[in-house]
Amino acid sequence: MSAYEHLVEETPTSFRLRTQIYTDPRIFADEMRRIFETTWVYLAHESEVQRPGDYRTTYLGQQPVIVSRTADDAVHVLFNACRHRGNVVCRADRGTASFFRCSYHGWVYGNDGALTGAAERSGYADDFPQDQLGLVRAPRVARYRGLVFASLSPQGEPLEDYLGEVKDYVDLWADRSPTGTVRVRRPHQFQYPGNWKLQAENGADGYHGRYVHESAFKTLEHFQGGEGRREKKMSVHGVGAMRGFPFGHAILERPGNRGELPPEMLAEHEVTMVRRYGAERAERIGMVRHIFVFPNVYLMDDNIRVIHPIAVDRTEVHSAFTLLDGVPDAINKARLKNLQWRLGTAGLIGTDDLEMFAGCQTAMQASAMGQTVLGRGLHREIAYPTGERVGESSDETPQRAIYREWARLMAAPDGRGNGA
Amino acid sequence: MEVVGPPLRWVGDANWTLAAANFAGDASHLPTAHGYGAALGMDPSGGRRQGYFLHTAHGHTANLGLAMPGVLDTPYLGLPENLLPELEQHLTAEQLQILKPLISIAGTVFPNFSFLDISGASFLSAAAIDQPVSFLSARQWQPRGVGAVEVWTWLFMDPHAPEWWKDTSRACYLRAFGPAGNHEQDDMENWGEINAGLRGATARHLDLQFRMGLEVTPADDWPGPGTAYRTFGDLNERAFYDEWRRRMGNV
Repeated sequence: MSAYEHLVEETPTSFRLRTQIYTDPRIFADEMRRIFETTWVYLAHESEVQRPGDYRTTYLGQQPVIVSRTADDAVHVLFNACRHRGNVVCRADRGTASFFRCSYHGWVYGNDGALTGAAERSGYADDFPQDQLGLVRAPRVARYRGLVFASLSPQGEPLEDYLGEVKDYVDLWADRSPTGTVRVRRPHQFQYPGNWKLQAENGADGYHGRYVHESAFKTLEHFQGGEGRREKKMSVHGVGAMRGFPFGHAILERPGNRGELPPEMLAEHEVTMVRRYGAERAERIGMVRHIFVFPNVYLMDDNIRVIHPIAVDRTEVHSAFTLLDGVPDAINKARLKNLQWRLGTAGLIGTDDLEMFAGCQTAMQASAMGQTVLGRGLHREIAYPTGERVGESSDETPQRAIYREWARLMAAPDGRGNGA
Repeated sequence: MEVVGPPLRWVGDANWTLAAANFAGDASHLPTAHGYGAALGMDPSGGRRQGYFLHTAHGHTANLGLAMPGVLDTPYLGLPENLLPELEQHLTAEQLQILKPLISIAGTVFPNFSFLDISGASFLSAAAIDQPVSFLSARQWQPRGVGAVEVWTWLFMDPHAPEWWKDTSRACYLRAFGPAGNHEQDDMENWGEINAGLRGATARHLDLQFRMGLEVTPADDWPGPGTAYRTFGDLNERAFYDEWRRRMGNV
């Protein structure tokens, strides 16, 4: 029995969450241990450390890490804490460097993490264990289709088993480029005053579009006429599927394409894609699809959206545009423009959601509220033997997958929910 | 002694022990953390001092910087000349013997009261000072949670010091210390990052390093109280955390 067992309550006809999962700092602290220290956590895209010497800093849960590429082309995930007094050794967001020097006492580490020198070295005895004082490495690091993940749990499923069936969808995502590779640039970054799970739920929420984004759709329709109605059609009247998977992964999927490209450019691109992948796969690749890999990353049509929990009521989101390799520049330019007006820091669509997150966070302070309701479509959800569940276009199938996994991991008091 | 003005107060994002242990005697952070000030010429020694590290029972600590002839040579802690006869009148021979070669003192009265007196390191341009000037300050590290500390600092003056000396002393202190002081900010930045970074599984299994000078033996020429060493090392920080451990028991 776990103290958290009652927080996610599922019956054959209902699915409810206790609101303190969004507001209780103790639950947040346990999430950092039981979820972010046990699962595979997305850290970076390989293209962010493209050349030897490149590095970027980020967080694994709340823990600062450096992702670096060394001259031997290995990609390292190093805990960004000096072994001397624990200060961060790299403060820059990203860059190129062969070493990191701590700003407190001048200890120096190679970009592979080895301690190469300590200031005033003569102050230490001859048995100073320099070779044992390198930056601590993440116990497990794995890459799939350019995505770099790390796990703080030494044991557990290999990354590809963790992704499971979602691996095929990650392939579809990467294959949006005819060469099968994408690159990312510096992300849009923003914070919102709400719990991290609000963003995790929202990226695969097929229900809210008509209401939350109504004004954005009206604006588009007003200025662009019929062409402007496309976004609304896709979000609101779309058919398509909502998918939930074991380990909390989830997908929102809509037939047809997002409409980033003008018609003649799209037609030309489709010819390239059909030639490369065949008609059927090219069509699947081109569908609108938001893939959530639990616990912290969305692979969307044109961007990678990473969720960084900061506190129980504060979250930072990094959304990096994905440049497709092997396509004309004009295509990437059109996609970037589309992404910026939709989901950029001041975009028309994404900012609507942030207002909802703030509202949810505020209202859920009302202890009398008790529970939220995520049962939409539960009665018509199809469960497959593989563990996949599929619902209709506005069903809360993805959210339920996320919270089933959340409950499973949170029920393991020593953070061993992932078999570690 | 007079206190100059109200205390300066601010809140930093750091655990109080990081600050108290640093003032107890962080042996080696000066050339790195405060290296920019040294590069500007604020500290002609480049942050490299020679002197005594000493601690007494109950985890109290001090580190004394000694004059370095030709580099830093401002005896009696850079006090104004008109005060020296008074010193000689009131202090014992042993006290004078300790005081005379001193150019700096820093230390911590366990748990959270620290003091700092620096001369030689001018903190103003050489052109602004043609005679030794120092400042004497005290500070209290008020814990405000595991990751927050409220700092109170006071600056002290001898009322009989000349006016020009008082003005320069205050200017030196404010340039380097207090919430906008260039040395203070170096430290707050490092301490804050330590606190922010050491969350989670990796840090829970991480040992930090306080082994500098583990093998050194006490100085036999120390005329004052406590145990003193002539070598730089993490001696005083170990004394601080030994006392912390003694009082906290197993945590």
